[in-house]
Amino acid sequence: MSDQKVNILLVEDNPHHGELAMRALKMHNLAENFFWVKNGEDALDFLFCRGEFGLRKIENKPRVIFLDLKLPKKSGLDVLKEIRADERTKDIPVVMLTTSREEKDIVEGQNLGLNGYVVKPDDFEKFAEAIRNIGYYWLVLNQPPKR
Amino acid sequence: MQNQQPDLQTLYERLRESEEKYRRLVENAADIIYRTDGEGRFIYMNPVSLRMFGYTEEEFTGKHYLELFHPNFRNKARQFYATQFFNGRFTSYLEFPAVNKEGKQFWLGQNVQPLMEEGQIIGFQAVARDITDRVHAEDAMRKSEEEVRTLNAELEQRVIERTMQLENANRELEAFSYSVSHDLRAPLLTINGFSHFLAEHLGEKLDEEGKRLLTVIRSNTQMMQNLVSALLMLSKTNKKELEMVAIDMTALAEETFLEIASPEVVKKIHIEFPSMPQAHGDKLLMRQVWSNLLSNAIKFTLAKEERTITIGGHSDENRTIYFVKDSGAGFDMKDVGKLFGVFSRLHTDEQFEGTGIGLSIVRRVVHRHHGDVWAEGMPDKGATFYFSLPVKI
Repeated sequence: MSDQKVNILLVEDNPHHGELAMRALKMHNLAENFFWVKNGEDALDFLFCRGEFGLRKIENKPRVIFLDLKLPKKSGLDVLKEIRADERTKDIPVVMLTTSREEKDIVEGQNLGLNGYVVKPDDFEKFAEAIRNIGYYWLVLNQPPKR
Repeated sequence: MQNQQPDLQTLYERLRESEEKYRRLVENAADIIYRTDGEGRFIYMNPVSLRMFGYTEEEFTGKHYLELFHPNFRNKARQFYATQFFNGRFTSYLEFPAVNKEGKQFWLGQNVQPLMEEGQIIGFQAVARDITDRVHAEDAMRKSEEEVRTLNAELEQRVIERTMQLENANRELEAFSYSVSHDLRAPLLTINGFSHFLAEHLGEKLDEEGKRLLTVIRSNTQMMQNLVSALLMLSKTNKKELEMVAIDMTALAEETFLEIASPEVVKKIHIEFPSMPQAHGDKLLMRQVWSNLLSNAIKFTLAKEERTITIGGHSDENRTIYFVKDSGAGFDMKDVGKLFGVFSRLHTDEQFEGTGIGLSIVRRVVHRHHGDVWAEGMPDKGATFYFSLPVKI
């Protein structure tokens, strides 16, 4: 992959939920520069420009990461830990998307500096609205700090 | 003379009388009394001795004292008496198994004193009593104490095992509720979303039948969502720690009713909120109880012409009983056992929608408050659901 600008990085292993998120973003014209990886390792390769993402520049950070909690191999919380542990990536806003309502996950995410936590509603219209709200907030309302 | 010495004849008479008195005492005693020479061979035994051991006086006389002991006890007895004499103790007490002429065993408790003459031991005198009943009673007591100990140990072991099983079951239940919340919800969102896209994709091309098919998919997805939410609520009901507070049940029932009933429904139903006794419980869970009972009452009343819901509560010494009575579809008392079970429903979806979990949540909550739930009903004559809570001491 070339060195393109990315607004939203989606980390989601469920292909259908990924498509739902993508369609929801499209519905609200927020899908520009959207990139989707299917597991935690790919997400970290992407962010740290390793492997198939070797040509990317690390400075081209996504403006927000939508991170699924339950991922194969590396969990969402593990990925978050590594993002927060590195000077170059620790400022990227991360919003957790999950079907889990387990309180311990929420607390652990908050301790790791999670910027938001969205429990995926069962209902698509509510889901689309949640996606729109967080996309709108992080891409439109929230201005990244000037360098 | 006042202080005249008695003559020899009188003294002899008195001695004979005294000896006679002494002999009668010994012969009529209930205890065994016998005497041996210095080597331990019997030279005198009273009638009780003869009766107890079954020997004639001739057989008994000249026997060694150890012959009266059970063979297994003879060494021990020999040592015991050797120690007594070695230490110069005037009296000893020993309990031992004795055997009679027929070989029958019985227990004796025996006092032994040496007979001294001019500083020499010339024999031994013993008084013994049958203690068989006491020894047997003690044995039985020891045995039953041992049995109790064994039973207690077994019981403790069983409690440990059961506790472990329960803990495992609880862990499984938690894993299950986690899986319900995550793994079952994920495909639901997908079905819901993609049926939405399908409708959008087909748009104008969708005819009436197509629309109906999609509606069936949608409404069933909704039903499944309700089920999953209700299951989650049930498992949360188990896990939530109780925060016990005083609850104004009248206010809580009214609040809950207005929360779950839409304005149109409120207009259609006749309901009053009389003053009810305060409860002591977890407010969030109690709200759930009112919510489930009232929404049931609403559901089953709406289809009828007479739409009345009556609620109330009263206390006695030990408990407060609350009830929700409706004029709805009711139920047959033979089905009363099924009412509170998970997934058990008395009506089909066409009749009344529902998850079949609501009343089991009610029961779980009330049981966690150490109360009871029960119901009364008649087909088409309405139903009354009761729950009781202990009065706070």
